[in-house]
Amino acid sequence: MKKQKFIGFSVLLLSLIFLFMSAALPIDSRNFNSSPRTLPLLVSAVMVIFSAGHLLFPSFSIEPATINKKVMFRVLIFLSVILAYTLIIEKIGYVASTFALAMLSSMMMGIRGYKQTLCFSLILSLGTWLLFTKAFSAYLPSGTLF
Amino acid sequence: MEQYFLSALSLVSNVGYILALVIGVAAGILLGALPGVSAPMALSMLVPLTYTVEPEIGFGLLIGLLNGVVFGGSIPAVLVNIPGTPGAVVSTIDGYQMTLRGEAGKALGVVLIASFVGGIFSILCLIVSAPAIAAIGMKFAPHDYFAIGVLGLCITTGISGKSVLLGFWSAMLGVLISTVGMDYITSQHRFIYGVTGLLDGIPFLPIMVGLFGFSQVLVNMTEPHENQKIVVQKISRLLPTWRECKGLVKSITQGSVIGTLIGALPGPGGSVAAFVAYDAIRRTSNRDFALDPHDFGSGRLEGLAAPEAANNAVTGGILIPALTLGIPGDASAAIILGALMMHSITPGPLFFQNNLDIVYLFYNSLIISNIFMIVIGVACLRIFVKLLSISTETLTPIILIMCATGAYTIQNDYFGIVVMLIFGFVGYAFRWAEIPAMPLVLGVVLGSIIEKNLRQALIIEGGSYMGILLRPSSGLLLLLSCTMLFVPYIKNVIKYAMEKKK
Repeated sequence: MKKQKFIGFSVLLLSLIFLFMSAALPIDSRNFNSSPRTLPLLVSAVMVIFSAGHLLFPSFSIEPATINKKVMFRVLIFLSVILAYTLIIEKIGYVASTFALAMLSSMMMGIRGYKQTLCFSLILSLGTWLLFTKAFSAYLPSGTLF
Repeated sequence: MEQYFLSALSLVSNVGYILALVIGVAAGILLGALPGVSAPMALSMLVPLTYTVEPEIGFGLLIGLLNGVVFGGSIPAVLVNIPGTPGAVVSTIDGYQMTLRGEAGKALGVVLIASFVGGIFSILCLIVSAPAIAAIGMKFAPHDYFAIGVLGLCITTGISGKSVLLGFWSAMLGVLISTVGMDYITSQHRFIYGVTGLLDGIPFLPIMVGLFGFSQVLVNMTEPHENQKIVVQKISRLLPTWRECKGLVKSITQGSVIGTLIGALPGPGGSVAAFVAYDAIRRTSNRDFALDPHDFGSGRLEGLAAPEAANNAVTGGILIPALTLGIPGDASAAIILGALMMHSITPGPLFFQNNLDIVYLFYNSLIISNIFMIVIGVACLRIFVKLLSISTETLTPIILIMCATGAYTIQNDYFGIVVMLIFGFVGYAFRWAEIPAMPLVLGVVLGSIIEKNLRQALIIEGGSYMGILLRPSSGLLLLLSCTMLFVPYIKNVIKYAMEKKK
């Protein structure tokens, strides 16, 4: 499937989902045309028309879709790392979890040397903690570790 | 006027504010100089910091950063032919040619002067025009605000990205995102499905951090990259001669006017302003080869000064519709509006009545940060140039940690990081699909304005859309919006069909 068709189908699907979800919203009986569903319904209907129109009369061409499996795998791995970070940040604390994230991301970026990565991650996690909590009085979770 | 000067005096005597401006400008120049860090990205990284400090310190930091990033983006454009920000692309044409012939210092001096003049000119335009526009804005009905919002979206979709349709989809998605949460009239929950964090809608700043910051991190993390060690030649004499400066008056003036006007339109931004200014000076220059023996494209001073003045004049220009009507000119203005709203300040015509202290704070911050920009630029340019050699390997984890921490501090909850994560992936997918992210951002901001005013107008008109269409001002604006959207769209369809036939 060509990239432009794939994008068109994706947008059509998304706008149809929004259209049905908007249609399920209640109507304000006093102001029929001015209810919570007015704008979402209007916008999703316009999107359906334009995406269907694009599938019938394409208006642009872009390079055919190439999804590099290796890149997608790395994206998913990295998103999982960040998801794990969001789950542990409040449990083990900001500095410890951020240190772990900085270590992992530095290794993924290919910073050479164990000591260098360790020092860099330590400075980065402590530095941001100091900046946000001390200079800007922001709250960062302390958790069981730090 | 007296109140304005008193406000300026009290700000200048505030050490924390001055420090925030200095840090903002310096950090902005540094971030702007790093290729891949755009103004919205830098702003979205630092906006969460402003939430916990006094408004003058927070906005001082943001305004300083905005000015610094725009100037900083031109440093690598001139020195190594890599624009730091999209607005600096045109500066590579003549700027890099000057560097090649050993005049990097003079080129950066011209960039500094043109940026300063362009910035100050646009601020003066903002100061002069804003109260008048706000006064006109007071007379607008909800019909007109709805139409202005739609026009803003249509202009943005028309000029950003490869196709009008891609920009349009992006903007519409932004509008749909803005409808998530509790309906402000009926308190009806929309698209929440039990997630209490969504009651107030999807938080705007994590969306920005995700789209601009985290998506760049994803790109750096997952795709093969070259180790960007930039080697820069030594910087010699920095400022051009007085005679050369006098020869640049026309190009800088022209660039400043073009930049301010284009900045005031929702959508185009610095890169379009710089291109238009470059083209204008190339057409209108009298090419005094006795003063500058080089032609355009081979390192002519005028060819660098005009786009630089325009690029920086956009900074003040984008704030004209943002502060007076609450309509952001580009993603940077949208972030500043978001920051204002975080402090419970609503931009728009009433902003000039209810928040005069903040209005003066903006004016003064823009002027003072421009002065700091030239001082810091002259004093520390050599240091910034050395810092240019920071590698992607080191920069990416720093951006990641800043983004994640910023997203957390917005709500003191991991929900901000989850939103950042989702929109980071959306931004990454948008890059793959070549869909511009900026219309989505404007869609999110303008969506609530459009909805609020559309529904108010419909209530006034008894539920009839014809009332909005038949009102002269809103009808005209909506007609203009349709033209802006449909003419390029139909052109695209015809062009594509012709290409396919061939």
